[in-house]
Amino acid sequence: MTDLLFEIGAEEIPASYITPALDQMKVLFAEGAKKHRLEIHSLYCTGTPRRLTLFAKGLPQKQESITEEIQGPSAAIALDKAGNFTKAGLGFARSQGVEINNLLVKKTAKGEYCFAIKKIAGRETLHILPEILTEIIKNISFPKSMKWKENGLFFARPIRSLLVLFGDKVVPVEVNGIKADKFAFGHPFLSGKRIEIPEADWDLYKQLLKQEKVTVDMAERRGALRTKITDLMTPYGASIDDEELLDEVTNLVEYPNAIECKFDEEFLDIPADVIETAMKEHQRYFPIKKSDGKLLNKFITALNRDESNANTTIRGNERVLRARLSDARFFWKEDRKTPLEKRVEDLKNLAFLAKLGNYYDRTNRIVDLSNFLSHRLTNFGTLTIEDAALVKRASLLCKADLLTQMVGEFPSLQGIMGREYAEWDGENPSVTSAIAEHYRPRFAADSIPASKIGAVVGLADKFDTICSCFVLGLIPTGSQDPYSLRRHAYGIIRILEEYGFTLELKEILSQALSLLPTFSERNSEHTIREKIVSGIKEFFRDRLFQINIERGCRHDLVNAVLNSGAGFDDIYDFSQRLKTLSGISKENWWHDLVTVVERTFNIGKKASSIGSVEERIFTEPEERQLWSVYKKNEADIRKLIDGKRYEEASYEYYDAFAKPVHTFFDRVFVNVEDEKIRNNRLLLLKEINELYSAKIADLSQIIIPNNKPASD
Amino acid sequence: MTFQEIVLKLQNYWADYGCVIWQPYDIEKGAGTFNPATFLRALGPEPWKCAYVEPSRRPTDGRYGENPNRLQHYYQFQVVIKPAPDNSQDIYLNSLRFLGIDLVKHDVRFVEDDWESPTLGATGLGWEVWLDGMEVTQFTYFQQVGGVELEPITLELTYGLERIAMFIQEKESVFDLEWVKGYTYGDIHKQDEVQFSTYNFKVADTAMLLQLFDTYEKECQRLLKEDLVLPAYDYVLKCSHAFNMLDARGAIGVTQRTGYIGRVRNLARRCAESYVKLREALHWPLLKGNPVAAIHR
Repeated sequence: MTDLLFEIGAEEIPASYITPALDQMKVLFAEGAKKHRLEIHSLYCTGTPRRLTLFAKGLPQKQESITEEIQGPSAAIALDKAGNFTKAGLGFARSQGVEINNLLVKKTAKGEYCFAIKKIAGRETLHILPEILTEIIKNISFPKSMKWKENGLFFARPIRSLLVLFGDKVVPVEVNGIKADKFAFGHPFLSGKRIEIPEADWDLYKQLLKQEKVTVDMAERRGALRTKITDLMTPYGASIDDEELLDEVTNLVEYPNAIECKFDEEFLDIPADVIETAMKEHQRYFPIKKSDGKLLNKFITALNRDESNANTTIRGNERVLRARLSDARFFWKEDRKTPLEKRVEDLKNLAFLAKLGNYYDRTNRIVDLSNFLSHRLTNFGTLTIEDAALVKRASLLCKADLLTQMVGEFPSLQGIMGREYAEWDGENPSVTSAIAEHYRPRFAADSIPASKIGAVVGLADKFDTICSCFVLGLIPTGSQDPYSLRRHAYGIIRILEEYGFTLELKEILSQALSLLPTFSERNSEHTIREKIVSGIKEFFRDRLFQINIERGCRHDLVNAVLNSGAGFDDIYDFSQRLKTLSGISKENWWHDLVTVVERTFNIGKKASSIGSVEERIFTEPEERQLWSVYKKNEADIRKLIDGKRYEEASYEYYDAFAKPVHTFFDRVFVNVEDEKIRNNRLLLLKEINELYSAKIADLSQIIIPNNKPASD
Repeated sequence: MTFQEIVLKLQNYWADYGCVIWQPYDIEKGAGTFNPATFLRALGPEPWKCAYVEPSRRPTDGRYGENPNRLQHYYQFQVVIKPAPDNSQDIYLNSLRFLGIDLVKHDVRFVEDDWESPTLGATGLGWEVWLDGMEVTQFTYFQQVGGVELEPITLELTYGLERIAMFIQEKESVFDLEWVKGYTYGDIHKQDEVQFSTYNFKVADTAMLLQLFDTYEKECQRLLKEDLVLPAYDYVLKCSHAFNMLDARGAIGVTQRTGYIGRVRNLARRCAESYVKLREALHWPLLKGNPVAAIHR
């Protein structure tokens, strides 16, 4: 057993590329080893901005030898009657490079055939590794790759060294003119040395690099930075609140360290969000916030070196931040000279999507759609008239900050600057927070708008984006979703669920689409719009399915609710029904409930759709009994359903029908000759089935515990 | 070290490396990349080593001389080397050491930068080089210029001279930099900043600029037809500057912006293609009879 140490030495690789590249290295090596029949004991990948390292433990010296059987001509052709090989048989042996005594006749499904038995001796691992490792270098993919030599390889940044040791032997890899050797580079500034690594020994490699000021292990570097930064923050009652920034900074340095800097207190009159963005976005500084969230005039920057001469570094970083904050203050001053309301008209200069005009048009659509949603929600009493007026104002101003200088400089402050400037203009506080909130959720773990006002504007904004893209045919496919429509749909779903807004999807989509310019002939406009609506509805169906699966819901439950008569047009109601089913699927009466729906579905679907149950046609007491149970309970169950009391409705349905349906199927033969009697029975079963599956969930799609679909 | 000493030192360092010490090109431009010594010479297989100071104009960055870090006119020190040497980073870092910057005492970082010039149809990958958090150089391996894939690759180093000087002289404001004993950067350039900021933002005649843009574009197209690629390229620069001026005046809407940038890029692309043809017709003179492959070593 021998270990392998493989280090790709490169010029600084972008921080965000490193972890994905290491993951790929691991997979590519495992695949390569498997393909070449090399067993590995363990595999570890780690790295810094200047090196991607793989350590494989316990490789064999040689591949296992194997025996291959290659099928040749049939026995009838390869052998003569005396059992000797014919010319054809001998020719086969020659073509395979084996002696006659390695030919064999074997029975197969198609008769007897001649086989060549080939022994393939295992190759030396040392000779196989160059193939595997070269493939790794060629196949790691990066978001952006570059060329640095003629006719050469593409990689994130130029590769400048390859350290490849198998035991104490250098593996002869050569890529893009770089020959493997047993040297790694130390820290470029603190060491500058080429270090000889005597053998593939992980601890030794780590230790030798550490002597040359490189902490090669990413987890160790991250830990060291966390400790250092936490130590600096603790005296202020602050703590690290941005793990992603810590991840990023970990991959910007080889020698993890951090120092505290400060800035003039006078800058604290700029909005805190602006200061934080100026620190984080370009400079990757950690702001220091007291436990109450208040920003201090201090920050921490990671260092790629020790503290000696830290003063010059501190001064340098402070100077840089001062310049950025001076600029921010200039924008803060200039931008406030024009009230937000006046900026709305300027949005004509900001293009939206090709053909769909500009942000001024878009603002008007968001205003109209917000208004439409407000109307619906005030009808239900979810929103007050006063709220609706605030929605109107917020929707008008929600995009007005896009052409401010501050948002031009820091695009991630969109919405937030809108809030700040609106506050300055003296807008109602509900309006100002709605402007900031309407972009939420901006990512999966983000919160939704904290106010109803922000939620309604957010819905209008998201629906307009989705509809605009669908009209232009910019529909997400596979991994391609350039306009983040999935995130927008996710936002809509969460807002509807968490606010309990009762709205009809189809109606909103039709409204949103009617606000968009049309590109089709007048007479085909209606059909085209219908098509787009159903396309978007399908998109929402996929999203609802995906989101609920990710939340851990059962596939069959989600499908049962999606495919019920009530469907998902009212997304909040959909979620309520799904939640109810997830709950009762753990009850002991669940199985019987499913059985009622399933059995009535299987047979009821044969009923002709016209006509209704007629009592006088009944012949058997069990069917009369079932009908009277239906008549007795139907109204109650419908009332519970209308009141959205789905759990009670389900129980009552089960309680009423489980026994009589069972008895019915035991005693009554449905498919009798007499068409009238037969159809009457089918209609009865259909009524019972639809009482549940049209309104709550189509339980015939439920897979019961013995892993068998209930409807089979 | 004074501002002008920094320039002189960099010139000496790169002259010793074997660079042609070029001079600024005499047409307004946004960056040293626009100089034909970079844009055109990066094309084709001929080896090229060149360094020069480039006065650069970015009308939108004007702040009336009130911001200590932003200028509408500033200086770059530009180095281009083709093919990019294997020890690119080392020779660059040595130039900083040559300026007396002790790299052990400062925090040096190579921070990811995907460089792109939409007007020039040029892209490259590399870094911003930071000294104690301040970006002092753009370090780029060109991949494409004028829409043409490069082979071999050109290395471009763009030093921000004011930034480096502020770093070395530890000054808070660009205007306080010592240009030479007795003169500050402000003495020499502050008035320009006030005057040009006013002109760029408020006074420039947009109707004239719009007309000039069209005129320059036509002239460029006409010269390309006459196979006069070098004069044609001058008009790409003129178009680009007219566009920058219009941008500063806020005379171009966001939608139109893309259109104007596309028009300049189109001219730049055609110049790049013509230049490659021109040099090829001359049998790549700078290869000096060496086969292309030999030069690539």
